[in-house]
Amino acid sequence: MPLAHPGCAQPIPTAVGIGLRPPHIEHVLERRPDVPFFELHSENLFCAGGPMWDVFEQVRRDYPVSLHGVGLSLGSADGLDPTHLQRLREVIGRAAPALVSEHVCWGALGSRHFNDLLPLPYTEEALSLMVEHVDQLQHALQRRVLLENVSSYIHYTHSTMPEWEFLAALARRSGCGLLLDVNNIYVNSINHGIDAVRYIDSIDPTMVGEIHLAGFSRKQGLGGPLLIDTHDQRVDPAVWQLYAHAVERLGAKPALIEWDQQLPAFDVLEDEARLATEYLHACAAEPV
Amino acid sequence: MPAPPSLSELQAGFARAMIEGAAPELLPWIGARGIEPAARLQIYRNSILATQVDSLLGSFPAVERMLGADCFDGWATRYAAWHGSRSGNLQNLGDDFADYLQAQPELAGLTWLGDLARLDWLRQRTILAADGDALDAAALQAAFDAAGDDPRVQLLPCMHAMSADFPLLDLWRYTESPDQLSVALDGGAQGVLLWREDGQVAMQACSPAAVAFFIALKRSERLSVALAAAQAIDPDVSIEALLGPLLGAALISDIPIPDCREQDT
Repeated sequence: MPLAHPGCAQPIPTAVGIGLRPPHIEHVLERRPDVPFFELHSENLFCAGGPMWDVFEQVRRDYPVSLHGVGLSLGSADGLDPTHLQRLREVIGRAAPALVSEHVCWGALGSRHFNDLLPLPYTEEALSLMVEHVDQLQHALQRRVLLENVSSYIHYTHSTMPEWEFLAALARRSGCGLLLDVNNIYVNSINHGIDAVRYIDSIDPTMVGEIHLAGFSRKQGLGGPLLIDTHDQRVDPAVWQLYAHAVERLGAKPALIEWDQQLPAFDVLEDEARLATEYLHACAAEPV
Repeated sequence: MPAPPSLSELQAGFARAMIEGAAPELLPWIGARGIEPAARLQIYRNSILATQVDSLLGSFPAVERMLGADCFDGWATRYAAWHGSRSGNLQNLGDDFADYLQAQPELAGLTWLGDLARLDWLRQRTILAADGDALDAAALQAAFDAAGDDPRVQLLPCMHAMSADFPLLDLWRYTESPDQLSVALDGGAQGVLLWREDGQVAMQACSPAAVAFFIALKRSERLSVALAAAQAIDPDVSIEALLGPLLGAALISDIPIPDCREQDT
C-alpha cells in the first residue's frame, strides 16, 4: 500500500516542517517562508468549501503538505464513526496530501465525542481492535497511514505490554507506519516512569515515517511529577537531547514542529525548526 | 482483585468519569505514582471541557461579546458538560447551543440571546459551506427565459437567511462596536441575508418576508410557492423586490430547466 498518494504534488522531504495553524496562515501566504513542508489538521478541511480550502490549495501549490487527523478515535471499542471516516476519505481524496497520519488513542464512545486523545490500555484486546480499525482506515483511504504515539497522564495497571511493543506490533500487524512524537515519549517517561531511550531503541527505524517535536508544561502541586503535553512553548532541552538520540538511532526522518496554544510569532517556530534541522544534518539524509 | 475491565467497560467507565465526574470502578486500574487516579482523570476532564469551550467561543463571538467572557465561559462549560460533542470534528459543536441558551430560566430576560446565537451559528455555516459559481447577468437572463413561467431558483450553498422579531443584524453589529453604535431592541422585526464574499461572511438586512422567500427557494420550492410564502407575511411584496438582493449579491447559481415528467405534473 503506498505511503504517498500518487496524485500528491510534492513528497515530504527529509527535513523539518512546521504545523500550520490559522493565526499564521496570512503570514505564510504573504511571505512564502522557506519551510520544507507544512502539516495541517485533517479536520480543518472537513468543511465543504470556503477559505480553508482556498488556503490549503495555495499552500499545497508551493509546499509539500501532510494531513494529521485528531478526531477519528481509532481505538474506540464500539467501532469507527462511519460519517467521520467517510468525510476523511473525501478530504484525503480531494487534498491528495503527501502523508496522512492519525493517533493511537480513543476519543469517542457511542455518539459522545470527547475531542481529545485518550489513552488505551496496552493489552492484546486493544491491539487487535486497533489493527482492525487501522486496516479499515487504510482500506478506506487506499493508502498507508502513519500512527502517532500520544502523551498520557494515566497508566493502566492491567496493560500487558510496554507502549513501544504495542506500537511495534500495531505497525507490524496492520502495515501502518509510525509517527514518533519524541516529546510525547519524554512526557510519558516522566509521567509513568518508563525509559525513554529504551523506548526509542525498541522501535524499528524502517517503521518510522515522521517525527513530531513540541513543548510541554509542568503541572505542580499534585504530589508527583506530571508533564502536560500543552504544545504551548519551545521544545524542552531534555526533549532535544532525546531527539538527538532518536536521529542517531532511527536515521534522518521528516520532522515537524508543533505549536497549538499561545502561538508565538512565526519566526519562533522557524527558529525551532532550524534547531531541529541542525540535529538532522548530523545524520545522512535518507529518502522517505 | 477482580478481573480487569474489557476495553468497552474501561471506555464506558472513562466516559462516565468525563461526563459525571466520577467512575470509582475505574480507579483500581489506574496507576498512581504519587498522584491520585481521580486527579489524573480530572486532568482529562478539564482538558476536554477547555477544548470544547474554546471551540464554542470561536463559533459564538457575538454571544460572548454580549454576555462577557466569564458569563460566556460559564454557560459554554455547562453546555459542553451537559450536551457534549457529537462529532470528532469540532466545527459541528454548538448546533443547538442557541436552543440551550434560550431554554435556560436564568437567561429568560435576554430575549434576544437565542436568535443572536443562531446568527453566529449561521455565520459559521456560511463560512464552511460548499463553493459554487453564480450565474452572470446574461446567463441568468437566458436561464430565466429557458426555464418557463414558474422555475425553481438554485442559490449558492453559502446563502443563508433568518429573521427575528427585533433588529437582529443591528444587534450583531452593535456587539462589534458598542462604543460607536446603538441598537433599539424594540425597533421591530428584521431579517438577515448571509453569504460569503472574498472568504468573509457578508450580511445584509432584509424583511422577514424576504427571508421566507429565500428559505423557500433554498428548499427548492418553485418561484410561485416562494412568493406565496413571502406574501403570507407581506401581501404587498413584489417578486422584483424579493429577487433584488439575490441578484445584487450574485447568489443565484442555476435555474434548472424542468424535465418532461416535472412539466407534466
